[in-house]
Amino acid sequence: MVPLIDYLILSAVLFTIGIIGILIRRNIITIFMSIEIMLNSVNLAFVAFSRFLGNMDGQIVVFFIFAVAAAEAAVGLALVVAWFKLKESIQVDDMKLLKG
Amino acid sequence: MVIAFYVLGFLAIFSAIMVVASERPIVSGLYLLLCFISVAGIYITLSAPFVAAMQLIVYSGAIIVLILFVIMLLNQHREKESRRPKWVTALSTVAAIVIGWGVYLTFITSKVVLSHTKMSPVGGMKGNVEQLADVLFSRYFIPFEVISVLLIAAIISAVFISKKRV
Repeated sequence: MVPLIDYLILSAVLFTIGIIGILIRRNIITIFMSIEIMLNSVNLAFVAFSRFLGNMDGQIVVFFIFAVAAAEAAVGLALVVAWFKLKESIQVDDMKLLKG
Repeated sequence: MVIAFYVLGFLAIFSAIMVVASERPIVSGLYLLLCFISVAGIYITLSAPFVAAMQLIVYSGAIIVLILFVIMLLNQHREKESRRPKWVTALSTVAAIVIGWGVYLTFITSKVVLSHTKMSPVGGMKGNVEQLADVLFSRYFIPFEVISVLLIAAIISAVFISKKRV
């Protein structure tokens, strides 16, 4: 039987990889994918706690996170497409219109 | 179950690293699909079949298709040359590892985490969906309805943002 700590360590590792991806990549779509990896790692921690503590609420929260992630993907990718139409670029280094 | 967990966990970590490391967005997208499928397998080893099915339908069905579709629409097959200095990337990696180390330390020093080595018999493989439905449609009924409003708002805003400016 795999103990709870192994699932949580896997979740922490995936979360770290997601943060690294957000910080070092410059392509907005890859940054987007890193955010999805981080959401997945949090879901994994929720389900692991839910199963080991015998409380179904964790899996309900994961259900809500799925819905929010789907909404986030739709709106975020629409923003990327709109930005690309405006500037012909999806590099985050080009997104500095608010720079003072 | 133990072997399945370690194989799937290795696969998930490997594909997540490849998502971050690969040059081409389309390759990252396909590795992300592999990562989502292995996480769905890990949900099966946790005996949470409903969440695993939702993961396969919502993430590897809908979100991956959306991401791959946008990559093909934008036609960005290779990332441009890096314009950031090397030390910024190195510092960012170190900062990310420090944050992740904080999460890891929180987990391994928690007494609650260390005292649970066996899965609870409540809400296992048998009757998982029924128990979830009991909780979802009683205590979480209002949030469940609000989620549908959120999805409608997301659909409308996605259409509105990406439509042609007149």
